Amino acid sequence: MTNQPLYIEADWSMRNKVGQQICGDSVVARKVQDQQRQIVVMSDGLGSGVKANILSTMTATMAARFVQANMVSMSSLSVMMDALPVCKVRNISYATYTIVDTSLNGETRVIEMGNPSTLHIRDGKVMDLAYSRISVSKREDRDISIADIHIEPGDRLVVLSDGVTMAGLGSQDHKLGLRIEGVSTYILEQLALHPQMSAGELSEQVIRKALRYEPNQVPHDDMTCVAIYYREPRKLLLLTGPPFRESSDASWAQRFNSYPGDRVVCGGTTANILARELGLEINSTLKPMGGLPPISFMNGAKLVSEGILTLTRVCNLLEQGEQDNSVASKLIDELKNHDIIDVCVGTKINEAHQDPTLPSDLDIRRNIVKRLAGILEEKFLKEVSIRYI
Amino acid sequence: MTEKRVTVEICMGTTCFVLGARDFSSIEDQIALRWPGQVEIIPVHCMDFCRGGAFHGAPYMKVNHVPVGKAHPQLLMSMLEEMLGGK
Repeated sequence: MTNQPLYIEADWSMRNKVGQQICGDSVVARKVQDQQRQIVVMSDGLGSGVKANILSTMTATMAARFVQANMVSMSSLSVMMDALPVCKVRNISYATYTIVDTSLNGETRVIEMGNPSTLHIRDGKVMDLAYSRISVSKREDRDISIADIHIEPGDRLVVLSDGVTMAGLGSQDHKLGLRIEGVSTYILEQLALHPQMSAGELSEQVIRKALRYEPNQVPHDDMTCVAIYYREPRKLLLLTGPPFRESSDASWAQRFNSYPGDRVVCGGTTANILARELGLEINSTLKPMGGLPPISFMNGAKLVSEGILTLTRVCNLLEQGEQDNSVASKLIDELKNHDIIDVCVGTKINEAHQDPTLPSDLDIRRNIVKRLAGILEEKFLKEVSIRYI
Repeated sequence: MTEKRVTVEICMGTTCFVLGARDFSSIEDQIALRWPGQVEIIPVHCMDFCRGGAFHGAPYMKVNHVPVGKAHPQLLMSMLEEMLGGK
């Protein structure tokens, strides 16, 4: 049993069934800070499109709330099923679900109803989950499987909707479909090649594998892969803006230099001060990327970018769930690949940015950083700290 | 190897970028064609010239270490024309 608190990286990839504007699967993930727990629920609604999305969203949301309130019981699980609207076509209400409830000391409960079995991966192998199966009263056809496991650092759990495991089923090339075995084999191959692969990358690779099994490589059912990676946290320092007092420059630069993790710098003057204080060289290019100032390079930093415009674009892209070919997307990759993000904001005002003729994107740095922290915490479950200097 | 005769530093900081430094993105190719091997272009992350109320001069560049405000590609090409002449 580990004494160190685990960091839980949960991420997922989804595809809508071809022709649908919305996914019939839903994922709800939430951290319960005061209880040191993280809850992830994936639900697959009956059918596809809006109706399925409503069923799965309701199910995943209710399940997450019941679990968070420690109210998981046969009666609460029945309540969830009874609360769903009844499909007029099929005259039933139905959404499968998988709940993963992990405390940071590793104790984990997996509750499944109707979804493919959760994969527990440890040391390059798929572990057997010792399920107890329970029937819900009034609903004999809906067994619930519960497994209690102890998670070790480095373990992964993968939750799939049947759109993934049944990808290609009945097709000319893959008559039996991808199946859970195909997914397991593929994941183990990928992890052997890239042992540190992030949860987001793994889930996306699984979805792409499933799409390759489908005729014309389009999803014939909603597809969802949730990957949960339990590991040591990855730390990132984001430095933006020069310190308010120049007398703080040296200590601020030393903080950057001694930070126990990766570092990124957003801002021209910010990078200049670091370079001056630490005796480093900044190399830049003239080629803007995606309409933003170009990326620069400096020893000790994984990325050096312009400040305000880039951070504003990062916020916009994260909110819209999009990527582009700008340096902002490279910064987004860094943010997503780290778990604990320490932001150090220099509060010196750049008077040049206060010119009313300049674009309104040149917002106050503090506002943008607050907005960024909110998105990272709420949407991506990152631990973000902000320090103003 | 011929020593480069002119050094041009171009600021790509926020203020300079939004006020026109982005237009320098293809200047290297143009200069290399016209004065091959004679001009060294150095993109600079930020020159910090816009601080202290001098921002009306952005975008900035330095030609042979001399700061130049309101920089744009045509201005640079005409300066090089004067300094280096034709081929």
